[in-house]
Amino acid sequence: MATIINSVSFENFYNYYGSYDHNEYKFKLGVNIVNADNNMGKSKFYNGFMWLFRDQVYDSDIKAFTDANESLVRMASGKAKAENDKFKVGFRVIFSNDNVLYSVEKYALFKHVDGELSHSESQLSIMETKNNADNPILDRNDQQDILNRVFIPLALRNYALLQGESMDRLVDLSQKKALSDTIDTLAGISVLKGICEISKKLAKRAEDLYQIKDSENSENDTAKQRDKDKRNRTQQLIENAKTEIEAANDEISAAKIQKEQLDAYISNSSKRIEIRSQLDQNSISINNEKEKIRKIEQSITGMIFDEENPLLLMGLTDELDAFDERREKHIGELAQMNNDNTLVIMLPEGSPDTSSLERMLKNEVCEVCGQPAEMHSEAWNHIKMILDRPKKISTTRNDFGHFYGALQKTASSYSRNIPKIEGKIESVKEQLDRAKENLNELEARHDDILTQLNNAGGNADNSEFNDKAIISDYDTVNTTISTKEREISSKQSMIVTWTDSLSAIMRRLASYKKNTAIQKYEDFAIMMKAIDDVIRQTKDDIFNCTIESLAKEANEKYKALTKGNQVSGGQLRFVRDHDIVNVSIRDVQNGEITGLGTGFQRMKQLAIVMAIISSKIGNEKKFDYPFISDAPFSEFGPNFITNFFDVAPSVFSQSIILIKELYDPNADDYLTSHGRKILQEMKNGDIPGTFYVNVIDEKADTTGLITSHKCYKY
Amino acid sequence: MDGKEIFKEILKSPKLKELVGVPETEEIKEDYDSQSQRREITVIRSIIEGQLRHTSDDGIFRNIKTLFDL
Repeated sequence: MATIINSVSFENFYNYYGSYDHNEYKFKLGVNIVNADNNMGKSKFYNGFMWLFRDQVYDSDIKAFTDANESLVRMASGKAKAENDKFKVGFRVIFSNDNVLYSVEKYALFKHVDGELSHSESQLSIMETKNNADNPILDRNDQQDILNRVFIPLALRNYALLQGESMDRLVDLSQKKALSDTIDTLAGISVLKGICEISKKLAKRAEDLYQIKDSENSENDTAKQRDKDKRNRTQQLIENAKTEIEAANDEISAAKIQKEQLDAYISNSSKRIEIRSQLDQNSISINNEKEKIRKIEQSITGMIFDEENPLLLMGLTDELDAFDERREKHIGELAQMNNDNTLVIMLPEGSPDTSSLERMLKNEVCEVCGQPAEMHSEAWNHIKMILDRPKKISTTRNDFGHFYGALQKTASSYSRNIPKIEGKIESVKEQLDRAKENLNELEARHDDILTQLNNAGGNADNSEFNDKAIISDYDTVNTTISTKEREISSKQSMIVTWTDSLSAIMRRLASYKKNTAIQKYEDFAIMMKAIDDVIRQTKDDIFNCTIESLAKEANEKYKALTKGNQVSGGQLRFVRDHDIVNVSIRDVQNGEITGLGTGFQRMKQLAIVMAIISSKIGNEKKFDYPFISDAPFSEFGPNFITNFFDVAPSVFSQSIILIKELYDPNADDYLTSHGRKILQEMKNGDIPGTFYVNVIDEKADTTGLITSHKCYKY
Repeated sequence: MDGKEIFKEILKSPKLKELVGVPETEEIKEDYDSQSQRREITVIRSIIEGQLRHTSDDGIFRNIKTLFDL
């Protein structure tokens, strides 16, 4: 009863411009690859299915699903909108199931009216072809029935249609019940559970019917009526006790799950205390080292102006000699003085002396330039000003002498220390570097200790107080488990006692004479009860068998999918606790592995799903419906992709994989070497299926983009 | 699992063998698509069919009662 997609085609759907015939992908059993670069129609292809099943499309701009009817204009090909007055936007899929061929089309009609583009709502059309006879399915309910039951059943759709990251949500392993639900759905146990529920209800109704008939018949028999009342009360007591046991079992299951989580914390609590002590010690050392650095840096400022040996003088070793030289020169200049101790005014060479100036004034002629200098004229006044310039200097030689002398005296004591400054700076720098190096080491050690703490189940924020709270929770959980176990044991022994009483009552009741009509109802009730027991037992057997098979299959699949990886992904372990199945990844020492990368986590998810499908009871151990996945390998390397294509055909009857990892825009055939290898394997028949590559004929912006495809293998 | 597979699994049940008087080492020879002379088997098939066809509990119960002339 498998569904096989024969073809998928598009008409003016996003960048799939043109008719269905132009944009048709024919598919087969096995792996069907559509290899395309970004923006070449992978998600658009996937959106066709979203439109068909959910009336939604994924809008990559806002990274969310939107109502397809509101997005129809965006869904229409830009080229169709620009060039055609009337056109159809459509998605068509032709599939077969149980020798019946179905052609399902989702479409909307567009037309330009007065320059405005208008369109119809999305419409669905289904044609059923049986024994070469076409039968259009017009009733909406019948159409939905074909989509939701025949094509890809609703319950399986989450596993059949996957887009990128949604693989992470394939099985929510954080929810303990989720795996059980997945097993129920994929291994087909849901149907069996439903049968179980019905059978239980029917057995109860048969028993009630019998009781009513029997009561009607024995109204006048007080002894029998009394026994019946007793039986009813006892049965009720047993029923109540069973319900209480079930509730207690649920509480134990919940407590055990909590205990399992706390176990990891508890087992490492002493380790965490030790690590925290190391962490505290390390924090103190870090603070000390920071304080040391702060002090060294602060001392540098003081050392620059140090009274004994200021760093400020670094490099001034020769400056004292230069100072001496300048001073000597200055003293020489001072030595040229007049007899009256006035300074000899040093005029520029060739300047006239006092007597020449007096003569020039008297003769009213400038002897420098030969021009007349009439008395009181500007030139005459200038000569007079030069003659009358002040001759006495207000400063005294002793002022400078004292100043320079004092300076030299002070400087001479520094001069001996100046050569030592470089060494001193070097030593301070060494101290500082050492302190910073220590700080770096301490901080790196801090990170290491934090990692150790994390690995031991702690973090920087939780404290020993949390550990104490954990220990307290652990005690509470253990108390709950033991209390409830005692309660169950006590109830069970009560049930045994009541069951004994019930048997005696039943024997007495059986001894009362019954008429044939009532006997029929009793036989009916007994048989319905027996059938209910049979069905329930079968369900439990199948579930157990599935889990056993699951553990084996999942590990084989996980191993096959992670084959060739450098890092070991560990072993998957499944444990059943009543109706809940727990899964974890264990290393060779049975320790739980956490923190595996996204790739590994997705492989785990996929391995589990593949394993569940392969663990189905019955002859057909494959997924009976198409597995359609858009960009499933974004976190995977080539190794995993190869492994997937090796394993997939044995699990999925048909898969359609929209992928970009095998695409090389620079290659003539648009394939990477890995893509060529897979294509060759397909051509050799090692991998069954088809291989398509999407291409863009002309570069254009998104609205004018036209995707076409090349079929490399059919 | 489809109806036939579930039916096949139920037939393996030791309790059912006991109920219909077939030794545990033997198989219950019944076919899902054929009428059975055993009422237990007919009831089981009615329940499976009822679940698969989404028949109401009342409907299934009514069908089974007729097998017992009730």
